[in-house]
Amino acid sequence: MQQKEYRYVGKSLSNDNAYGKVTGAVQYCGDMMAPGMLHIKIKAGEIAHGRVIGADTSGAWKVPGVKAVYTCFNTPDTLYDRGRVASYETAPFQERLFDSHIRYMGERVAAVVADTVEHAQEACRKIKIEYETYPAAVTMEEALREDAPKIHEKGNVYEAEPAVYGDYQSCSAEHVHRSRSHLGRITHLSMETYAVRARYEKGSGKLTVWTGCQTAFGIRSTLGDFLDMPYSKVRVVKTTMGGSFGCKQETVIEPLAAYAAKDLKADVMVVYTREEQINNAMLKHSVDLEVESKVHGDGTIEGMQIKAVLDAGAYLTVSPSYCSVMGGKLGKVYRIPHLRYEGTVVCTNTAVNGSFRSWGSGEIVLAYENHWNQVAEELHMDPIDFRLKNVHQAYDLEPMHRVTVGNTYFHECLIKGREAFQWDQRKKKCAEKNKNGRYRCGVGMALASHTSSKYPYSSDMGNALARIQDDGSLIVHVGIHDHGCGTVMAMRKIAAEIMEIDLEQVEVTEIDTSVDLYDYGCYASRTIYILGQAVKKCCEDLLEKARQMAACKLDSRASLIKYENGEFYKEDEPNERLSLKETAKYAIRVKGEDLYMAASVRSKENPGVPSAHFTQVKVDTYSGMVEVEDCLSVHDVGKALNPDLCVGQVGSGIQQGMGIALCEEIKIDPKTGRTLITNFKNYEVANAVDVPDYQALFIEEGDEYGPFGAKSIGEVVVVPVPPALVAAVNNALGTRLTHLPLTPSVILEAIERQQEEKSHDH
Amino acid sequence: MIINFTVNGKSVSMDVMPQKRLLDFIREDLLLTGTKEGCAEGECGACTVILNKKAVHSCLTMTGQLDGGELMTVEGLEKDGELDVLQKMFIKKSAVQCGFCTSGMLMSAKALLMENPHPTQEEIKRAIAGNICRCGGYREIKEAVASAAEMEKEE
Ligand code: FES
Ligand code: FES
Repeated sequence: MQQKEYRYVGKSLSNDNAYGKVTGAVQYCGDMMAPGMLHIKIKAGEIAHGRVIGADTSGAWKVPGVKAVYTCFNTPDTLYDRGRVASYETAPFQERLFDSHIRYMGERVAAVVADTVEHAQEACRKIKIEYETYPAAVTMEEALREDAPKIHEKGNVYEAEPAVYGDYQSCSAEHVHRSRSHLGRITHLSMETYAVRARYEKGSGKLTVWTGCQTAFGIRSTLGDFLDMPYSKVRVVKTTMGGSFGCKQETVIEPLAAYAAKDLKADVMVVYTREEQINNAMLKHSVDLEVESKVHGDGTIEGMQIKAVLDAGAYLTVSPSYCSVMGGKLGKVYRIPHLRYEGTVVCTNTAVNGSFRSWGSGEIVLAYENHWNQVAEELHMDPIDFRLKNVHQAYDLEPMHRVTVGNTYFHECLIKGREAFQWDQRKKKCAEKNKNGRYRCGVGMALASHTSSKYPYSSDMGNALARIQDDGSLIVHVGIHDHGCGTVMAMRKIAAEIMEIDLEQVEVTEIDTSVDLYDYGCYASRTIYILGQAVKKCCEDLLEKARQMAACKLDSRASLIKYENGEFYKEDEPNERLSLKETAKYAIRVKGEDLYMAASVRSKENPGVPSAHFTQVKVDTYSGMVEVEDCLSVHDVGKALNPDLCVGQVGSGIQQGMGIALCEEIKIDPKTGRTLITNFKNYEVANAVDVPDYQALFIEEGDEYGPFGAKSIGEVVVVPVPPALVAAVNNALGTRLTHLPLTPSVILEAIERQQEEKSHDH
Repeated sequence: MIINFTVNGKSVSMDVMPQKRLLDFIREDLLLTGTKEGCAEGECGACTVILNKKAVHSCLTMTGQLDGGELMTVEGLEKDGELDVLQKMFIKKSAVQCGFCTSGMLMSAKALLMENPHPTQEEIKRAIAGNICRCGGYREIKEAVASAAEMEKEE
């Protein structure tokens, strides 16, 4: 596609509201203050499994400023589901505000609303809960036993419908290979913990909820149903969000805040501590993955089968759907004639697992990329050559969903990456260096893809409403939830580009359910692709409407009216110009019309976003530490609307991917079910010293529907990083480690095993 | 307890609870909410402020320690409508995403440049190693700090 010179699109113009953020002026939800605002604190339970049989709240009531004390004995029994993002969605519906049946250590058993945080906290401490304990099933193994304690009435196990293409069982090829991978739980670690403010107005009976969320309409319907209020009286406003990575996709504490606000007819605030954020939000699933493949001698893949077992934690919530979606993502990268996926979800008496950036792509890609790296090694093929043989071509059919992979460039990602990273040279050098010595070098790579919309999992539409103001500036309402990554900026650029007006003249509002048209929520990496299309179409239509108005004023026909730099003119009288401002004024004053436009677009495609990661590591065989020396991510983004922020996203993918592969894990005590890490101190992440000065390369060939050719980037950035790092470590050590994270102790153990084996051989 | 201190250049005398966390005091009493809480235990850097020319974690500092001191928060970086060069560079280098780590990051960087106006790459990395940013890969932030130092040199 030819690259047009745009004014804003594709220019690095920093982030929306960067000024507000560097001056501390931007208000996040937890920064809101209001006279009379009350504060909620939550009491955590002390058993992994059992029943609450009594609650003595008398001590709590003695604390000054206490307005309400909630337990399972005085709150509704209504079931809801945190993972439901739309009113029409089915979900497991297993959660209550306070359940007498306690299913994990630290689950909320009571809450206090008081005038100050300190009072609420003190009152929480004074509540005495009496329990009856049940045997707990902390590990998946325990929960799968026939005589396992039942965590839910319907049992602990959920089997996903197998995802099938072709016939894996009966296909055959010369090489059959099996591998296993394991991912531990991790925490999203959004720097901002959950914060929700809810205000109920006694007079109007309206509820307003402020939350830095990803799914305002979903939260609205969950609250409406839960509180038995018309959706029209529930207003959810998305506040500036301090990062999500998936954790703010679910409706976790909004129900409690909203319930308290309505009950007390008050304005209440709840802010999670870091400990609560780790234990009482959701973690990324711990998953066991088993892969089997059949591959021909020349490296052509004939078939692949994956079995996944996910630990859901105490409540199913999104896990069944997450597990199915993983299977659906099997066919996004390679041409494989026979595919089979079987997924099982197991509930355990542990903290809940749920939505995480890339929703299953990370897990499934880790499984098969670890696998293909082993297969390539077995076949003595370079991993890039192996992939070049098997990847999709543009517009190939994506077998699981019967849509095409779109205008994708897998080959180019591999070839450009190979060259830019000097893969072959590095590989050779590492192999030469690794003869002996304390440090071992290794290179690794992996390939991935992800979605750009929800289609065809379900229909996907985007809506936008644009209004020209009578000074010619523009307001665009779009149901957007910026995670901080620059989607608002992208929408502003799209609008300014189409309207040919200054970026400063364009205001894009984030979602507020009381004024915005419907939106599903900003997940599935659909924001740019779908909402961007909606904003573009809306502005194009609006411009046509304005053109007609200008034609009236200029006494001409719309078809003869040209538009340039925010001004209309007649083709034959280019010097007589009518600005947007004059057009809007004329429309209101003379024609009695407001210049606005609403537009909807529906997704017809879901183009893939090929992404390859190349990395080089240095492993210290004395300490087991892995240093990432250099890395490169190549992304087929279609078009980078905000190139600077896309690079930032790539960095975050590398940083999180390093964590997943090398150090991050939330362990659970297998005896007590207690979450062993609930603070920052013991949770290792990649920091400014660890993350190398990575390189990012974008392939911008343009998608046919995406706005200005753009697809997506926000989630896929993390996906290929862990398997590439795993490959690099294995390349350095000559191992086949696939049980993540590869912490120093795991690595030292592997080296020891290796040495033992060697000494046996001698 | 009455304490005297300066906050962002202004002298203040206030009756305070000396045991209150400085972070809460800054947010609730001084109403400066640019300083954030990310962990409450000195591990994430979101609450970093500059006290007596040193970067400190306000979540681990008591309000009483402010007495006679000089406090600077993110709100104090901009002077007479002119952004600090660090702020300018954070914007210019696109080092701001969700922004929740930004104020702490800026304060750590500011403390570094106050003490060491010409830091090496290594020194920059170390100065912000305790500030966690989950939205990026630190590349833009390191660049922003380096170019701010560079700009100061030129001036
Ligand atoms: S809140 Fe103080 S260091 Fe994290
Ligand atoms: S910008 Fe979000 S944590 Fe740094």
